[in-house]
Formats: sequence, structure tokens, C-alpha cells
Amino acid sequence: MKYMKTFALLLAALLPCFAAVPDADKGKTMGSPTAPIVMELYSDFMCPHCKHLHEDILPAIVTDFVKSGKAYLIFREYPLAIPQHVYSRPAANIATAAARIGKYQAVNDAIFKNQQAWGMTGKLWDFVNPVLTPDEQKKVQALANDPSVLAEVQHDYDMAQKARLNQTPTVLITYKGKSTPWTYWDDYNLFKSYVNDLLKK
Amino acid sequence: MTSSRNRILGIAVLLVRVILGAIFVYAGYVKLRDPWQLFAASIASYELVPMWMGEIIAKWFPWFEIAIGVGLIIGRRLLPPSAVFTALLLIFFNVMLWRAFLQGKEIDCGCFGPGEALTWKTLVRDGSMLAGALLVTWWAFVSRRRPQGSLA
Repeated sequence: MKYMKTFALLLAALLPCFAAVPDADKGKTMGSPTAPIVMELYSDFMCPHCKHLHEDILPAIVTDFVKSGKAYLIFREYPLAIPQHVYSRPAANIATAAARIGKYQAVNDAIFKNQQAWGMTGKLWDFVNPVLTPDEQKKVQALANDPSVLAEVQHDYDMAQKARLNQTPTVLITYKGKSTPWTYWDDYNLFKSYVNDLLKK
Repeated sequence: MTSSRNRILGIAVLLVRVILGAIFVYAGYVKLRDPWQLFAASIASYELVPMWMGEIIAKWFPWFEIAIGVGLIIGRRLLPPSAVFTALLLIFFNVMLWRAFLQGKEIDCGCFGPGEALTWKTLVRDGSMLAGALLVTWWAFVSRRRPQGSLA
């Protein structure tokens, strides 16, 4: 009975730690799930600012916070439902499908790198296929229409809506149970200083 | 008749200034609760001032909001300057908000911490606050000339 009580208390103390890490596709994460900060990056593959973040800022975030064990990074899809972004969701579906075979980063890079080209034509596979082997291409093409992949993308989208995120790219920063959206990317040093100050709290 | 009308107006102004004061105190507190960089990011997204100035504003402006909020609530001698600053600030906020809204900027208002998108509701809210602040300012000076009807 005494041990039961101790176990229950221990479990109660540990519960917030488990709750701090939101559900995430392991293929779309970077870093340690036990890091004090969780950063959920919501982006849209047709958004130019997301391309800028992915190519110019994300490497610094990974170096400063993910590799150092301060943050656990989760990639979330937020294909905006606007007419100009007609290929955003197919791109998100392909990237999520690629995550299932451990190729999320390679496909993510390829899609953003060629954003202007496929953004005009919608021919995403022209740029995704070169980073996959023929066998992987078949798997990803099949998975891109899999209901579970489509549901995962929709789940990310719903989470963004629930968090009332109104623009991309947004990093939802969760620390000690409190989530705060960060959307300003013109000055990386401000973001870096914010996260470092947050860690001191 | 005029005296009772003044009394009703005085009570209405008292209510408005206490509500406005509480809103300003809350707005300042919410900004101070989070690291200053969040507010600096909101200021920067309006593209009105350089970053170094935005950082200074982000660090000190919440204290100023709390001070004028307290001034509005306490009233008496603090009321005229607090009311004038509140009105001037709200004129500035409204111009900034309308400018960003008309430019189609999809930014955070930054009014009460992060995560509040700038929408027409923000404009209605801040417009109403400005109307209230102008009423309080007007009353603060009118009641000084007519102390017997003053509740401020």
C-alpha cells in the first residue's frame, strides 16, 4: 500500500512531462523528445516566407537549439486553404508520405528548393523523384494517397486552427506547459534571444 | 435637472475610466509576464520603427501602460495627465491598426500579448476604447472647472 502511494505520487509528478510532448510522426521530428522546449514548425510548401525560413533560418535553429538538446523540433503541415496555394496540400501529403519511409528531410528540402517551378505547374513528382530511389518512389507515391497520411496532414491543419495560428511560418513554442506562437522572422537574433530568455525562466 | 444629468454623466465617466484603467493595467501586465522579445516582435511586424527602438519600447512601454492605467483608476490629480496620455496613445494605436489592416498585413495585434490576430474586431474594440478615452479626457478638464458635480 505504501509503495502504491509512492508510485501514484511519482506518476502524478511525471504526467506533465509526458503531456509536454505532443503527438508527432517520428519521421517528422528532430532532436530529443525530452528537451525542455518543444518547437512545432507550421509551414506551407507554397509560402515564400516558409521557403526562406526553411533554407536560411532553420539551420541556425537546429544548430542553436536542437543539436544542443534545448529543443525538440516537430514539423507540422499547414497547407493554407487559399486559391493561390492550390498545390500546398498535395505537397504536404507527399512530404508526410516520405516521412513514413524516413525521407522527410530530403523531400522537404527538394520541395522547398523548387517551390517556384512546381508552384506554377503542380508537377511535384518531377522534383521529388530525383531524391528517392525507384523503390522509394513507388512507396511514397502509394503512401501519398493513403488515408492515414491524408488524415495526418489534416490533423496538423486542425491543430493549427485550434491554436488559432493565422500565418505561416509559425513556430509554436511550448515550454513548461505554456505554448506561444512566434511568427516574426526578419531578425533571427530576436528569436534566439527570446528562446534563451525563456529557458532561464 | 442639469445637476442630475451631470451626476449620471459623472458616474458613466467613472465607470469608463475604471474599465479603461483596468484594461491598460492588464495589457501592461500581460506583456511583462512574457519575455520582452515577444512584444518587440509584434512592434517590428508593424514596420514603423527600427528594431533597436522596438526593443526599447518593448522593455519600457508595458510599465507606462500600467502607470497610466493606475492613474485612470485613482483619478483626482492624476486623472488629467493619465486621460490625455490614454487618448493620445489610443489615437496612435488606432492609426497604426488601421494602417496595418488596410495594408492587408496578417500580423498579431500585440495588444494583449502574442497570438491575437489583427481583425476588424480589434479595430472595433480599440475604436471604442478611444471613444471612451476622449470622453474621460473631456470630462477630466470640464469637471476641474465644475468641482461640485465631479466624481472624477
